[in-house]
Formats: sequence, structure tokens, C-alpha cells
Amino acid sequence: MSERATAVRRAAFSATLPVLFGYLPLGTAFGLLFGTLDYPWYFSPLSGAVVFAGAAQFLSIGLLAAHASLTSVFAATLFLNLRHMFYGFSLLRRFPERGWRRFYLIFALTDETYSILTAAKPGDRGEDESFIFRVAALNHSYWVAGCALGGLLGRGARFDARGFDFVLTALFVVLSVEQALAVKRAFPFVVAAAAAAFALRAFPNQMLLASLTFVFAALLWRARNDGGVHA
Amino acid sequence: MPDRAYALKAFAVMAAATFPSRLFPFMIPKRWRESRRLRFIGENLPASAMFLLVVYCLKGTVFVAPPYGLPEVFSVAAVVVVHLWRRNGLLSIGSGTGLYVLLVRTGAIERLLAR
Repeated sequence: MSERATAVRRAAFSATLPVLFGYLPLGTAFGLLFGTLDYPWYFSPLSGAVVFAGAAQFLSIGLLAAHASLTSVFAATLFLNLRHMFYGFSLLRRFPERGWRRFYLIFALTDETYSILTAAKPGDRGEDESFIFRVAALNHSYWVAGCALGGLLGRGARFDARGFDFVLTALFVVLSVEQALAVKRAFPFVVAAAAAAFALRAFPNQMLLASLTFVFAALLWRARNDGGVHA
Repeated sequence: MPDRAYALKAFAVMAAATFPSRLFPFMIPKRWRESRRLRFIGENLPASAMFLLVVYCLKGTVFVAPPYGLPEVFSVAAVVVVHLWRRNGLLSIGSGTGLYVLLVRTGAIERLLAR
């Protein structure tokens, strides 16, 4: 393997390391909770592999326990994950144009993968595509591994991860600082703060979807007003 | 014995419900992609989104009862300070999380406040 390919591998691994420390305990927690439904242990990693949406998977535990209709499972998941419809806008020109990798990357575009990818500065196109793919696949594998661990530990196990969930908060704080240093503009943060204040009051249960919609509208409006020349 | 077929169908349905949202921006015609407006959005959205994800993670924090959200405030501040100091993501995340785990598990702030 060439030196540059090794460098891309290393960069992808070290960029995703915080996600490993976040997804592993979170996936384990999911596996443990899912274990209360008495399915075989591998149903938890299976869910992680094919659904790959943490919040929706946690939500599904209650739905499955109540034997909710597949229509309501669909509606609940769709609504919960609608926020992801904004993420691709930052990656349109970085994802490969065609092929199975394009579809895999879109499938695997979680909050955390989006965060890591937008924090990285794209260099050479080919290397960037390989970096993107590795980040997505590594994050996916951490999540499935966590779900499997939780499934295997099963019921009886007591796993005290109290406090460690802060890893993902800290990851997003670091990436906020990185974004602030990169964009050197207050506007996206001011808009986000206003959106958060509004959404927490008006739509506390759909805070991310409501605030991202608000932000998207504000950015659209701002881009029109100054023609996006500062972009 | 739980209904395995039902769970498998539910997984398939959940996967089918998650994909369209993630796919949406990629369905936009290529000629619009280079528009200044979409570029502006694509470039500024991550900053807003990261900030919102932080708020989302912290939204369960209770500020009106001891420890008044102080473990969260101090730990977030620690992450920011350490990150501005060294720009080493793992170090910033590790020290902030370490502080948070320490503060919530030892109840140090509650004890200080109770004095």
C-alpha cells in the first residue's frame, strides 16, 4: 500500500476515534435495552447494521414491545430522521457521483458521520472519497459492534456507563469550535442559537428538526439577500 | 416467544424510512448544485448544525435544581479551553468527559453547594 493510502487510513481512524468511544457505549446500551424484548442476541446488531439510526432504534424498542403496526413504525422513524435531509447539502460535491459507494454513504450519513466529514478539509478528490468511505464504514462498524456487545451481555448484565455519554456532547463541542475557527463568521451560530431558543419552546420533542428547518430557511434567506458573495 | 418475523419486518421498514431523508439533497438536479445559494447553505450549515447538536445533547440538563447544570457547564468549558489551547480533539474530548464523569459520579458539586 502506498504511503498516502496509509495516511488516509490513519486520518480516518483518528478522526473517528471519538465516535468509537461514543458509539460503543451507546450501542451497548441499545443492545442491553433491546435484550429485554427476548429476541436472539444478534437481532440487536442486525438492527444496528440495517437501520443505523441510533435515536430511531431506541424509539423502536417501545414500539416493538407494544407490537405497533408497521405503518406507525415507518411514520415514527421517518419523522425522527427527517433532520438528516439537510445534511447532504454540505456533501453534494464530495460524495462519489455513482456506484454502490454513493448509496452506502447516503445510507450511512448519521449525525456523527456528517460532523466528522464536514470538519475535514477535502484535499485531492480520490483521497477524499476514500477518506469519506472509511469514516462512514468505521462509524458503522463501531455502532454494530456496540449493539452486538449489548446483545451478548444480555439481560442480567449491569453496565454502568453513567457520565460517559458526555463523549458525544464533547465531540460536538470540539466540532463547533473547529467550525467557528473555519467559517470565522458569527452568523451561523447566531441563527442556530435563535433557532434553538425557538425550537426548545415551540417544539421541544422535535427540537433538532424544528431548529434545522429554521436554520435552513434563514441561510436560504441570507444567501439571497447578499447573493451569497461571502460564501 | 417473540415474533421474529415482525421484528425483521420492522427493521426493514425502519431502514426504508431512514433512507429517503438522507437521500433528499442528492436528488437535486446537478445544475443547481453549483448555485451560489446552495453553496452558501452547504458551507454554513455545518457550523449551525454542530451548535444545535450540542444544545440537543444538553437539553435534558436541569438548571433550576442542584447541581444547577454546573457539571455540564464546567465540562463544556473545559472542552472549549483545552481545544483552543492544544487543538487536539481527542485530548479535548477526553479531558472534558473525564471531568464530567468525575463530577457526576462523585457528586462533588452537590457537596460543595451543600456546605
